[in-house]
Amino acid sequence: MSDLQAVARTVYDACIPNHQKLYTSNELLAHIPKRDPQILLETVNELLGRGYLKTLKQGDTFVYRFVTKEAVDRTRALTSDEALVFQHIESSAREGIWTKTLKTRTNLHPTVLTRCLKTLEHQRYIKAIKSVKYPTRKIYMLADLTPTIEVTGGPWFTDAELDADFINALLVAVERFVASRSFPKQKPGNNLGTIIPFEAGYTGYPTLSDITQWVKNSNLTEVDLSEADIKALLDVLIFDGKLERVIGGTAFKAIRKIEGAVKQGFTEAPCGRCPVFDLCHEDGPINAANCVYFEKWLAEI
Amino acid sequence: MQQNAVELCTILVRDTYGELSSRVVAILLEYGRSALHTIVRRVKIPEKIVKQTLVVLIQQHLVLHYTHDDGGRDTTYYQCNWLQIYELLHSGRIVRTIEERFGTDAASIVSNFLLLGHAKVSDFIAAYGISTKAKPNGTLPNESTISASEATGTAPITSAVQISKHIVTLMQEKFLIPVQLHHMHPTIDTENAIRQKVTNEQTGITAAMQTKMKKAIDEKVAERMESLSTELDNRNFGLKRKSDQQEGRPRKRTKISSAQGSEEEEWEIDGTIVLRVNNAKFLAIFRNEELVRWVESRIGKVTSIVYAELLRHMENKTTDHRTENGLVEVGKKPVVSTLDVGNTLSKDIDLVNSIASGLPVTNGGSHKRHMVNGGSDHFDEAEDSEGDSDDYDLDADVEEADTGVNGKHELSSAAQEKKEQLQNIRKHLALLAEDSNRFVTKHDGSMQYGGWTVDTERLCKLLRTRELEQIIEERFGGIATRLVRIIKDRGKMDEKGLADTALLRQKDIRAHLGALHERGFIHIQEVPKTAERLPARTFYFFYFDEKMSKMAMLNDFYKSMSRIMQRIDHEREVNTMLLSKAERTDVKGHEEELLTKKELADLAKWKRAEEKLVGQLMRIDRQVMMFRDW
Amino acid sequence: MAFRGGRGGGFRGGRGGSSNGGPLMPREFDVKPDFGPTEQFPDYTIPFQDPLTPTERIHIARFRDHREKIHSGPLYTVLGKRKGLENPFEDVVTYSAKKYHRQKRKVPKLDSRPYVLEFFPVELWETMDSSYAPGTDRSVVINGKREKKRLLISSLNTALPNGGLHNGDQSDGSDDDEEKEKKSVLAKLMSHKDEDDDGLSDGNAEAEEDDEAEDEGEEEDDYQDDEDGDYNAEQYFDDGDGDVDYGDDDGGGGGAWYD
Repeated sequence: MSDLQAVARTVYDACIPNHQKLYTSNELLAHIPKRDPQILLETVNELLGRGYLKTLKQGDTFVYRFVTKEAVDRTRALTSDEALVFQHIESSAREGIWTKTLKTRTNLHPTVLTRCLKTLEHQRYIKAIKSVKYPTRKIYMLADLTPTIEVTGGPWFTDAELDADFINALLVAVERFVASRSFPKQKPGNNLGTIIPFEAGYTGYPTLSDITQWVKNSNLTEVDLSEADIKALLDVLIFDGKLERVIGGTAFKAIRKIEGAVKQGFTEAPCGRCPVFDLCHEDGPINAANCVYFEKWLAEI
Repeated sequence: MQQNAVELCTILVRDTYGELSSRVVAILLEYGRSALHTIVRRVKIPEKIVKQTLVVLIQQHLVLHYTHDDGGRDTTYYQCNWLQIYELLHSGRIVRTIEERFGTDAASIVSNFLLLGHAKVSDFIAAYGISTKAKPNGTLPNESTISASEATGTAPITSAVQISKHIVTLMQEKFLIPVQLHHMHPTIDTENAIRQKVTNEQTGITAAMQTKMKKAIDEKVAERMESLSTELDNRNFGLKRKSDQQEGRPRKRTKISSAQGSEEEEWEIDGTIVLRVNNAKFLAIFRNEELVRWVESRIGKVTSIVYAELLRHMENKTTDHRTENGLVEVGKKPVVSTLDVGNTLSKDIDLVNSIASGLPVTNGGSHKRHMVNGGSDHFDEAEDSEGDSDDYDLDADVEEADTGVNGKHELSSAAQEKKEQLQNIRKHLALLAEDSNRFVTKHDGSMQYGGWTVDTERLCKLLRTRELEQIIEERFGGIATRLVRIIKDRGKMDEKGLADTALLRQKDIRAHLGALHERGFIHIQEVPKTAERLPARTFYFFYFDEKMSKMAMLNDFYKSMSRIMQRIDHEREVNTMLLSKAERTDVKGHEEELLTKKELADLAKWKRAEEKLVGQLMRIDRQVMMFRDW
Repeated sequence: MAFRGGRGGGFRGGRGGSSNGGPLMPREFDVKPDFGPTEQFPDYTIPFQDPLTPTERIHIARFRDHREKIHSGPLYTVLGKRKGLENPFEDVVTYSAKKYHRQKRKVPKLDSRPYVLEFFPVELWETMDSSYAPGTDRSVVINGKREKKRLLISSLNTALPNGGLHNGDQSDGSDDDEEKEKKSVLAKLMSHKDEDDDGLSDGNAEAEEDDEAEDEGEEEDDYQDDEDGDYNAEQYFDDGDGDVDYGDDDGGGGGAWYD
C-alpha cells in the first residue's frame, strides 16, 4: 500500500471491506476531500494504474470495483502470458470461457496456454467448471465466482450433472407434505381407520406458494428454490400420478392410493413381462405347455 | 380382427363347445364369410356334420348367416360373430350378476337362456314342465340337469307364474331381449337389404339421379337401421298387458289387478316371442362396476356406494347397443335425481362420517376443522357448516325443499330424516362432481335436490388411460410412466425436452424410451435438419398414439389369454387319468371314499391351478373390455 | 446382460457427447448379436398373482359350472384320438369305465329340442329336424307317443367356493343346512319332477339311445375318404373308442342314464 498516495489510500481503505460492491463515481466522490472531481479523477487513475480498482460497465454508466491486496499481489506475480489469460478469464465473469475461445482471443500457442492455465489453476486463481449446455467443453472462470444458472443448470444440478438423489428426496418430501394437507386428520377412535375425503368445495388444499413457503421453512435444503422450481417438482409429481391439480388448477391434492385396489390382469400373468412372449407360439418350441414360467407361477399357490 | 383374437376365439369355442365347433369356427375366422360347400372343403369334415355344427353355432349366435339370391339360386353365407364368441368368457359373471340382483330363480333362467342360445318363451316355460304333484322334499341330484321331455301335467299356477314374472322383470330391465330375424344376419347384409329396398322404392329414377339421391338414401337407411333397434328399446316390448289382450303400448296406466289388488300394472309375455340374453346390458353393468371400484379407490367406500346406486338408476334409463367400436348409448343422456338415489339407497349406510367438513385452515381460522355431525340433535350445526363450505350452488335447491313444507320445525321426524339423508347424499354426489375425473355432472334442470348425468364415454377413456399407465408402470417402471405421461401431455417432444421436464438425465431416460418404443407404446418421428437426412442431423420426436397403443395392448391381451387357456388344457391333460376317474358317476360326490390320498391331493391341486388360471383370464378380460367395449 | 433376438436390450449408452441432444435412433437401436448359447427360457422375475377375491372366486365357480353344463349337454363334442395315439394304459376300456365314465359325443345331438326354424337358413332345416316338412306339425314320435319336443333346462348351482381349500364339488353344498334353505323354489320343483319322471325318462332315454346309435351307423357311410389332408375325418369319427357314446344323456349326469 506504500505505493499509494494518501488520498487514494484513504478511499481504498474505506471501500475495500465492501469489495464486492460496485461503486459509482458519485459514491467514490463521497470519500474525496471537498468532493473535488479533479482529485477523484487523479485518484481513480492512480488506483486503476496500480491494479487496485477495475472499471466495469453497467448499462451506460461506468462503475468501479475494488480489488483486494492479495489479488493485486497475485496478478503482479504473474508472467505476462499468465496475466493475459487471467484477464480474459476474468472478463468472462460468471459465464466462464471455453479454452478454445481463450486460444483464439489470446493467440497463444496451445502449450503455452495450457501451462498458463495450469499455473493459474494451481494457484487457485481460476477454476475449471462444467457447463450443462456444453458438457464436453473445458471452461474456466475465476475461482471465487459462482457460475450462472445457464452454466450450472439451476438448482437441480451439481457439477453440471442432474442431481437425481437431491431431486428424488425433494419429490418425496413435497408429495408427503401435499398428502398431509389433502385429507382430514384422523379422528382418534374413528371407525375402520380409513381415510375419508374433505367435502366438496373444500379450499384448504395447498397452493404453489404454500408449498414453496413450506419448502423454504423446512430444513430440506440450503439451495434457494423459486416457485418455478417447485412447480417443476409438482409437475413431475403430477406426471407420476401422485398429485393432481384442484380448485381450477390453483391448488394441489394427493391422489389416494389403496394397496391392491386394482387387480392387475396382464402384468400379473406370466405372459405380461415374459422375455420370450414374441417367440411364443402354440406349435413352436416355446409354448404354453412347456413354459417354465407358467410352471413356476402355478407353483406359487 | 386381430390374429391373436382369432386364436383366442378358436380356443374359446373348443373349450366350450368342443372340437367340431372350433374347427368350423377356425375356418370361418380364417377365411371370412363362406358358403357351406366351401366350409366343408376346407374343414375336411363330412357335410352332414358341418351342417349339424353350424346349427349349434347359429343357435348360440356364434355364427351369423345370410342367404343371397345368386342369380335365381339361393346361396347361404356363414360368418363368425367373434364378439359373441368372446362373450363365452362372461357366462359366470352374467349368471352371478343376476343371482345377486334377483336371486337364484332368475339366475337359473338366465343361465338356461345362455345354454340354449335363444328360445321361444312358450317352449321355455313348458320345458320347466313343473309337476303339480307336491312331493315331500326330494333331494336335489348332484348333477341337476334334467330333461323335461315327458312331463305332461299342466304347470302349477304358482311356479309357472313365478317363471313368467321373472322373465317379465328380466325383459323389462333388458337382461333378456327378443330375438328378431335380423339379429341372425350380419349387420352389413341387413343394411344392404334395406338399402336395396329403399332404392327400389325410388321407382323410375335413372342411375344419374340415383347418385344425387345417395345422401337421401343413406339417411333413410340409417333411419331404418336405427328403428330396428329402437323398437326393442321400449321397456315393454314383447309384453302385453294382462287381461287386456292387445300388444303392450308404452302408455302407462295404473290399474288395479283383480288377482292381487296391487296397484302395479300386470304384464304378461307374448309366448311366441323368442328371447336371448342381452350381452350388451351386462357389458354396461361390468363397466359401471369398474367405475364404482374406481370411485372407491379414489374417494372412498361410501361415496362409491352412492355412485353405484346412481349408476343403477342410470342403467335402467338408458340402453346400450354393442358395436364393433364398443358400447354406444342410445338416445338422450338420462338424468338421475338425488331423490331417485335416496329412494333406493340403503338406510344403513353411514353417509355422514364418511366426509369431513374441512373448513379451510386458510379461511380465517375462526372455525376449527371438525367432522360434520348430521345427527338430528345437531341439525342446525350441520346446516351451518354446509352453508359455509358448500359454495357449490346447491343451496338453492335446499331452500326450495324447505319452502315446500311449513317450516322445518314442523317437519315430522321421518321427513326430517329423509331430508337429511338427501342432503348427505348430495354431498357425496357433489364430491363426485368436483373430482377431477368428473364422475357425475350436475344437471341444469331444476330438480329438487339436484339431478345428475354421467358421461360414461369420457370416463371410460380416462379409465383406459389410467389402466394403460398402470400397465406401463408394471412393465417398465415409474420413470417410463412419467415419460409417457409427459409425451401425452405435451405432444411431440425430443429427448432433451423430455429429460428437462421429467427432471431426469438424458442418458437415464434413453433406455426407457427405447423399451417403450420397441413395444409400441411410443413412436418416433424423424425431422431432418438438412436435406441429406443424416442421422446426426436429424431431430427425433417422440409421440404417443392412443389408438395404436390400444391395439398393441389388445393384441397382447388376446395372446396372453390364449396361452392361459392352453395352459389349462395342458394341466388337464397331465391329469387326464385322475380327472376321468373323478368324473365317473360312481366317484362323483364320493371322492373322499373312492380316491386315494394322493389322488385327492392331486385333484385339489388341479382345481387350484385351474382356478388360478381362470382367475387371471378374467382379470385380463376386464382389461379387454376396458380397451375394446367400454 | 445378453441381448437375445432383439429383445431386452433397448438402447445402449449413447454417443456421450452428441451436442444436439438427439438420440440418434438408428444407431442406438443396434443390438449386439449374441453368439453364445441362448437359453430357451431366460430367467426373469415371474409376477405374483394377487390373491383372488371372494367375488372373483364366485365368478370363476359359476364360469366353471356353466362350462361343465355345456360339456355334459348335447352340443359339446370330443373327437376320438387318432389311431396309434391312444395311450395303451390310460385308454384301456374297462367295464367300470364303460359304465360310469362320462359319455363323449362325437357329433352334437340336435333333435332333442325345438328350434325357431325361421332363424336358420333353409339348407339346415332338415339337419335340425328330420321330421321337418313345411306345414306339418313339428313333433317327434317317441315310443309311439306323439310328443312335443322340449328344451333342456338345468338348475343353477349356487354354491359358493369355500374358503381356503377349493374342495371341488360345488354341489356338495346341499349337505349344508343353510344351503339347503337357500335352494330355490325352481330347484325344488325341478327335483320333484325329476323323481316323478324317473321311471319314464329312463325308458325314453334308452329308446332314444338306440335309435341314435343306428343313425350314427348310417352316417359313417357318408364320410368321404380324404387321406390327403392333415386331418383324417374317418379316423376321427371311426368308432372304436369304447367310452364314446352317441346316445342321449339327457343333459348328462342326471339320474337319466345310470341306475
